[in-house]
Amino acid sequence: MSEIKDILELIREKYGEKKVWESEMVREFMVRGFEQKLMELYEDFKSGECSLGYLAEQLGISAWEAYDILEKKGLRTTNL
Amino acid sequence: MLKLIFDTNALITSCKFYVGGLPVIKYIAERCEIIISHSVNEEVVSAGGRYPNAVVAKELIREGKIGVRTVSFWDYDVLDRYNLGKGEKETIVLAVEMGGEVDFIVTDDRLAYVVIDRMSIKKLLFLDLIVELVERNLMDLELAKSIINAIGLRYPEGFIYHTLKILERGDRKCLK
Repeated sequence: MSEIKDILELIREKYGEKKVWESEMVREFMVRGFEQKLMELYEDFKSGECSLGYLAEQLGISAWEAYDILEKKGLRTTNL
Repeated sequence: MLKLIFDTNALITSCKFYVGGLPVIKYIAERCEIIISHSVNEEVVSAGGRYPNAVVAKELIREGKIGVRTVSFWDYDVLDRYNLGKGEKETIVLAVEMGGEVDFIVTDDRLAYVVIDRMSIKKLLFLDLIVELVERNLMDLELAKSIINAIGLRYPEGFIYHTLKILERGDRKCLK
């Protein structure tokens, strides 16, 4: 968590509080971060270490959204 | 009539795939009493606007064909130790609270299935629900096969092949 805090501080220093959300680069970071977290959770889901509901909750989305995202990426929506 | 508690993933699957122009959930709802937990319902409601499949579930809830129940036990420390979502946990708690009143939990999630099994609660994969309906003469064979084929893409090949063999032979232990 402290690493994330440091990164946020760095971004604030570079862009300032207001411009952070307007920055293309920050948006890209966010998308990549989300993608990476999704894939990490998907590995746990595939191996039966977590459920689809848990995966969705950790990403802050609903199970329907998680199902939809996995499907659009061509990934299995079941871990059987 | 079978009384079933549907987990989120089984609910999504049965709302998403269509046979003969109807979502699979409608065929199930005609033959079984379907119950979902309050959390699973919240998922349906929150996703309702964005996903046409969620609207299917929402309509069935409004028509009273899917019942929504709230759990009364909230301190489920044991379930919190597993990496389950709130919907899955409430589904299990609901089954514990309803006891013999409910026939099966329907889930396609491996972790949820294992936890449910450890709690000695009766459960079915969605594919096995279709088999169960045929075995109880609640669904005809051709409709069952159509449903299995429609949802086939979602499952690893072995699950579909085995299910179709069970339906053809009427034997769950068939090896060929």
